[in-house]
Amino acid sequence: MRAILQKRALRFVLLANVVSMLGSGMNAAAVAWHILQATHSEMALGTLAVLQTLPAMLLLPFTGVIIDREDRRRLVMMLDSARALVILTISILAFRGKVQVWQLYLMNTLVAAGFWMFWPTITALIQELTPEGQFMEANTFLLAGIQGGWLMAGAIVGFVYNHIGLGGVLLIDFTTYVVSFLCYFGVRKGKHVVPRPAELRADIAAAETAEKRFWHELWEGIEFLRDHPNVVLLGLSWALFLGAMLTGVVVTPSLSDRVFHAGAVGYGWLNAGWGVGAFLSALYAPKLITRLGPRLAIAVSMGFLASFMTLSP
Amino acid sequence: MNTSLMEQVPKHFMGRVQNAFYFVGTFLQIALSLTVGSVAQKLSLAGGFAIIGSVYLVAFISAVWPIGSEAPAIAGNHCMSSAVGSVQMRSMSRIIA
Repeated sequence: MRAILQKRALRFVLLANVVSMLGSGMNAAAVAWHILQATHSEMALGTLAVLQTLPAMLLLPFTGVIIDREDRRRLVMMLDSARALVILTISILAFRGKVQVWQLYLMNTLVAAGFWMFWPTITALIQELTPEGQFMEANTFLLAGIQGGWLMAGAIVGFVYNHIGLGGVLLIDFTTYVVSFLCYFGVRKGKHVVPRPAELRADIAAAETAEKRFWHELWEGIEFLRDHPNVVLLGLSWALFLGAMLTGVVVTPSLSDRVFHAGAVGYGWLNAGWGVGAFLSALYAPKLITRLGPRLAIAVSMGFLASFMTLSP
Repeated sequence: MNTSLMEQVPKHFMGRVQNAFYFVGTFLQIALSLTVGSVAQKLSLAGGFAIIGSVYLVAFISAVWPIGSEAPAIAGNHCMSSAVGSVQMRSMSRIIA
């Protein structure tokens, strides 16, 4: 495990993610809470979740080619800068007391568009920087940091929201993006692109125009999936997990509000519980995966989530 | 899941492969958010949780679904060659056509 932290580039990437997710977690929780208080409607939270995903639906089929073609570190830095500017703008509006629900929807839509390009890029970058055979360790650190950071942030925001308001929370998020940008800046120097095998390079070079080359590269990815059903099933589990986990934001604030009658602080405690669990999973997950094997470990995790999610209310 | 993907998908395919699954995941999020939000508000909050739980159940089934073992694409060059080969074959068939 420590071998991963001895690599400077990975240290910077992991640190950037913890810091960035702290801010993003605070942002997400504060915005969800603000909208629920402003509208008293779970449907409004559902709309928020839908608006976050619409740009992703439009961009995701095409951005994979860019991630595989460009320098992933520079791409992440660009995405951090763009999201930071959007959040700073809304933070200023919030401080002036002029922020409206539609502006929060817009901010989340833009930030989410960036996130859905950021996350596959950062995963690909970590794969690029990690020596083979150490992926599990790198991912353990990454996910413990991200989940812990994101969800502990949700807990913190429950306690600080009443004091610093939405503007303050968004300003903290902006600051974390600046720190994250600086971390990625220090990861390495110059432009680095993952080299393709000679056969694929020749095939792409044969494409006549940039557009044809783009579609050609996109089709390559589909061909790869068609030839690897095990990757498809793994990805399907991942997609289902993702869809279910991200929908949690629709019901969790209401659990605190309507069932526990605990307000923002109760919402904070719920997030803290998830955050502590996610962080602690770093202690046992590698051993569990080694003992059960990756597929069975995923199945056990999904089984637990299905049971507890159904029984929790 | 991330580790398994990193082990099974070559580095130069990682962006495209991940995005394919994120696309499915975000589509699910849209459908689920509308359904869960509506059920939680109009019927019961427990119903909303149950819907999310059932999606995790489908993920469980997908994870235990029996498939033939396949060597990781990164570890075994033959898998990589198979992807490359399929692309070449498609290109060749186009040329022949």
